[in-house]
Amino acid sequence: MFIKILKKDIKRKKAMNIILSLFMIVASMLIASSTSLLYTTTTALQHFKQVSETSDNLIVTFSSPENDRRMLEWGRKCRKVKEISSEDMILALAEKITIPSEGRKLEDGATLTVAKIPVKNNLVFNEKEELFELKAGEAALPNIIRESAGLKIGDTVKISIGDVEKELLVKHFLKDVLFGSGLMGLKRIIVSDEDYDDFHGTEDKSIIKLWSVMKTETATYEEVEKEFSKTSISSISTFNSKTISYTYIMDLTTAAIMSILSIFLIFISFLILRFTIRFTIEEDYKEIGIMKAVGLKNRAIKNIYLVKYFAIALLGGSLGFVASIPFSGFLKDNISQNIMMTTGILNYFLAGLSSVLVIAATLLFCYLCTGRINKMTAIDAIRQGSIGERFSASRKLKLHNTGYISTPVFMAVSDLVTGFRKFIVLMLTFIMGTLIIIVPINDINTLASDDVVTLFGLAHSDFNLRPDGYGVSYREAGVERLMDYTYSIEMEMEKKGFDTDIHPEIMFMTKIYAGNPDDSRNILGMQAYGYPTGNYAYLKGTPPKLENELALTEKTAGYFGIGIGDSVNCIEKNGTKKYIVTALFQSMNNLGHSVRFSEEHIMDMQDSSAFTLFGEFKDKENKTGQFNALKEKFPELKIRNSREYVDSFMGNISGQIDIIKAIILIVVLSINFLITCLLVRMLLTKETADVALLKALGFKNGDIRKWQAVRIMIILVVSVILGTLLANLTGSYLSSGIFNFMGATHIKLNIEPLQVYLLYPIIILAVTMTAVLISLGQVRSTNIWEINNQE
Amino acid sequence: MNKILNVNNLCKTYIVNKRQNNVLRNVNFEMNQGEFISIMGPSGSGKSTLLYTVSGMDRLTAGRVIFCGRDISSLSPDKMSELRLNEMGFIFQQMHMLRNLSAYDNIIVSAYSSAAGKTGQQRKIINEYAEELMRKLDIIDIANNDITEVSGGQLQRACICRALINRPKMIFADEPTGALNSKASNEVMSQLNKINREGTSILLVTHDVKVAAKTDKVLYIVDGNIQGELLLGKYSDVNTHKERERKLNGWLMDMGW
Repeated sequence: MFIKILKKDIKRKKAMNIILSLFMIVASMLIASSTSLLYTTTTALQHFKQVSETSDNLIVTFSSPENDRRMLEWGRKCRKVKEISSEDMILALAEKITIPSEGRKLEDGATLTVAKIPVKNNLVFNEKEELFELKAGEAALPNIIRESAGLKIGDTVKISIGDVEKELLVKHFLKDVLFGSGLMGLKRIIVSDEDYDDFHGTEDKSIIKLWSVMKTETATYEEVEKEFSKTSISSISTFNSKTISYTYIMDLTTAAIMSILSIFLIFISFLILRFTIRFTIEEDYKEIGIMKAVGLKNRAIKNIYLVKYFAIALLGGSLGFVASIPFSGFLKDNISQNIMMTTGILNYFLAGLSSVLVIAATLLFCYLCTGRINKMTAIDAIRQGSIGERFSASRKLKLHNTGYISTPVFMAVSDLVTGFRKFIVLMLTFIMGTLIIIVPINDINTLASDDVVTLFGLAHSDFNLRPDGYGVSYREAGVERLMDYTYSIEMEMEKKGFDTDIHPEIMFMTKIYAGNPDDSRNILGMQAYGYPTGNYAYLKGTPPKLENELALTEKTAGYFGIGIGDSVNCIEKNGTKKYIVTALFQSMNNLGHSVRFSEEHIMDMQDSSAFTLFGEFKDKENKTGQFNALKEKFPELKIRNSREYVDSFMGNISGQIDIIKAIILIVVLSINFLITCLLVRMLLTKETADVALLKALGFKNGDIRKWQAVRIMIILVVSVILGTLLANLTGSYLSSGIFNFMGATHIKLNIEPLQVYLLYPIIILAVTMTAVLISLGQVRSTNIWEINNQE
Repeated sequence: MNKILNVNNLCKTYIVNKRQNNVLRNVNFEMNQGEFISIMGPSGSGKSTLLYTVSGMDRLTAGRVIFCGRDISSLSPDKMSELRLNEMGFIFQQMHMLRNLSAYDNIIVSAYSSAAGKTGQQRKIINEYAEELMRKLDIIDIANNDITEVSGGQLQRACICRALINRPKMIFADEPTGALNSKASNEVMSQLNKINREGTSILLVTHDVKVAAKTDKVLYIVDGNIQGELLLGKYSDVNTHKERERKLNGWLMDMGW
C-alpha cells in the first residue's frame, strides 16, 4: 500500500519531486565540496612545509670567508642549534635576465638568485607538485615570474652573470615554500648543477648564503633567533618555519576568503534544505488529512514521508557527492598557484561524510516537519491549518485602496506582505551573496588605490623611479652621492619640461630593543632625505624632527610594550644609540614592524639597504598626462605609479585578489541563479492553479510573468541594498583581521561608490533576474484547465 | 437574432499515453445573443471540454468557433486573453479565488487589469459597479473578508460578481452549483437568470435537472457529440418550473439519461 502511495506521489508530483531532488543535489554538492575545501585551505601551508622538509630557522647572508666562518662557528657553539648547513645562491640582477624571443628584460621587483636543486631541506616542486630534475640548458623559474613576465613552459630566458651568459629553456615553474610567496623579496631560479657551476666560475659575482638551521627539540624558533641576534653577523634576512606562513599572507587571505565562501555555501545549503522540505510537506497537508480521515495512523503517514525523503536524499546526496569532486577541484585550483594543496583520501572521506550528513539532515528536517501530524486533526490538515475563523486583523493589502498601482505589481507586494516566510531563504541567500561579493571588492579597491602607499608608511607621491643598478652603486657611495644623483635627475627632468620635486626614500634592516638587549628585533627602518617627516601620516603623536627622535609602527610599539615618550635602542654599525618615540604610525612593510627616522638622522647606507626615489609634479594640473609623458621620455628610469610600486614587492596582490573576486562572483552568482531558478519553479508549481485562474480571467502571460518577477525583484533589490550596506558598514571589521595581521592597524576601506553601489548590484540584479525570467517560461505552458490541478 | 457563438465541426483530441482520445467529434451548434443554454450529458461525455474549447480556454484540434464574429482559433494568446478579459466571464464549479486577496479584491482584480481600469476615475467606477453587483447578489457584507471566511454559496456568488465585473457579452459556467446545497444553488441560479434577462448570454454545463430546467435550451452530449436539443424557452415564472422540469426529465429519459 505504501509503495503504491509513494509511486503515485512520485508520478503525480513529478515537477515538485524533480525540483526537490535538484535542491538536494545542489545542497549535497555545495556542502561536500565546501567541507573538502575548508579542510584543504586550513591544512595547506602546514602540508606544504611538511613535504618541503622546511628547516626550523633560516638566515640569509652575503657570503664572505669571514661571514661564513662566523656563521659556522655560531652554529656549532649555540646550544639551541642542533645542525646548520648552507646552500649557495648567486645574485642575478633582474635587468641581466632577458627573454630573447621578445627582446625584453625580465623586469621584476624581487632580488633574483640562481641556485641548484635543493636535496635535503627546503625542497622545491614543479607545477605538478612533483620533485624534478634538470638537464644542462634547462631552468625552473619562480611561479610568480610566470605571472609577472607572462612566461610559459618552453620559453627561453637568457641569464648573464659576470662574463657567463646562458640561454636556458623554461622547463618548470616552481612551488618553493621558502621564496614562493609574493611578499618574499628574494627568489631563486633553479638550474642544473652544470649550469650552476659555470655561473659560479665567473669572478664578477655575488654569492648569497641560505643557512638552514635545525633547532634542538627543546628550543623555540624565537630562542634561536634571539641567540643569532646577539651576534654581530650581518644578515640580509632571518626567518623561521613559523614566520614563513606570514609571507603567504596573501595566499592565506585568499584561502580564508574561500573558507568564508565555503561556510556561506554550507549555511545556505542547510537553509534551502530545511525550507524545501518544510515547504513541500506543508503542501501535502491536505493529503495527510485525507489519510488521517480514512484511518491511517500517524506513524504510518510519517513513514511514507520519511521513506520518500530518504529516497530523494539518497539520490541527491550521491549525485551531489559525485558533482562535488570537480567543483571542489575548481575552487581549490584557484586558491593559490604558490602553495601545494592536499588532495587525499581524507578529502574524499570528508566530502562523503558531508553527503551522508545531508541525508541525515534531510531525514531530521522531515521528521521535525511531520511532527505536526500528531497534533492536527484530519480536518485541520485538510484545511491546511485554516479552521475558517480568524481571530486577528487580516494582514492582506487592499487592491481597491492602492490608487494607480498596476495589478501585477500589487499582487507581488501582496504576496510578500502575506507570505513573506516563503521568501526568507531567497532573501538570506541574496543578502549573504551580496555581502560576500562586496567585502573583497572593498578590500581590493583599498589595496589597488593610489593611496595604498600610505598603508606602507610612505607618503603619497605622483611617481617613483628605480634606475638601473638599483641599490648597488650608491650603497657604497653614501647619502651625499645619492642626493647629488637625485638632484641630477630633477635637473634632467626640468630640461625636458618637467618641474618636479624628488626625494630618496631609504629602507634598511635595523635591530631595535626597548629594555633588554636580548629582546632585540629586526625592524625595517625608513628614512627620507629632503622631505619633511611631517608629510607622512601618523596615528598619534608628532613627527620625529630631531636626530634622536623616531616614529614606530603601532604593532612594533605593542611588541615592545612602549608608547610615545618612551625610548628605544638601535643597534647600529658604530654602536647602540638611544631614540625617543615621538609618534606611532601604521605600515604593512615587514608585516607591520617598521620605524621611521627623522630627516636629521645620520644614515649609514648598509649592505641591506635599498632606496627608491619618489617625486611630485609641481604643476598640479593633469598629473596623469604628465606621468605618461614622463614615463615615455625617461624609459631608462623605470618610472612607476604608486600601485606599480606596491605590486613590485607585494607580488601583484591586487591581481591575486582579482582572481578570487572573479571566483567569488562566479560562484555566488551561479548559486543565486540556481536557487532562484529552483525556487521560482517551485513557487510556480505550487501556484499553477492561480496562474491558470488568472489566465482564465484574461490576464496575459506577460502580466502573470510581471507579477512573479516583480515579487522576486523586490526581494532582490531590498536584499542587495541590505547586503551592500551591511558589507560597507561591517566590511572594515570583517577585513580588519587580515589587514591588522599585515600591519595596517587602522584600515579605512576605499569604497568605490560606482562599483559598490551601482556596478556590482546591477550585475547581481541582472543575473538573478535572468534566472527569474528563464524560469518564468513555465507560465506560457500552463494551461487553463490546470485550474483544478494543485500539486 | 444576432449570433454570439457559432460552433462548426469542432473536434478535440487528447493523446494520453500514446493513445488518441477523441473527446469532441464534429460538434455543431449556435447561440443567439441573450440566450441561456445548458449542456447536459453523462460523465466523461465531453461537456466541460466543450465549454473550455468554445471559450478559448483550451485549444481546439479541428473546426471553427466564431465568437462575436471572430474566429477564436486564429487569435494569438494575447488577443485571446484580451477577449476573455473584456467579453467573457467564467464561473467554475470549484470556487477558485486568489488566496492573497480579499473577496472584494478578487472581484475587481480582472477589471483593474483591463484597459478600462487604469485611471483613478475608471477604478472608482469599477468599485461602484463591484459594490452594486455585491449588493445585488447579497454579499456586500463579506466584501473585506478573506476567502477562507465565507460560505460556499457566498463564494460562488462572489465568483459570479467577478465574472460580471467587466460587463461581458457572455458567461461560461462549469457546474456553478455543483458544490452548493439546494438553497445556495437556487440563489445562484436566480442570479444567473436575472443577469441573463439583463442581456448577458450564458453557456452552462450541469448535471442538475433543476438547474437545466431554468435555462432556455438544453443540449445533450454523448461521446463528444451533441445528440439532441430541447427548447424550453425563457424562464420567467417560478410557477412554470415544475412543468419545465417534468418536460426536461421526459426528454432526458428519451435521450438515455
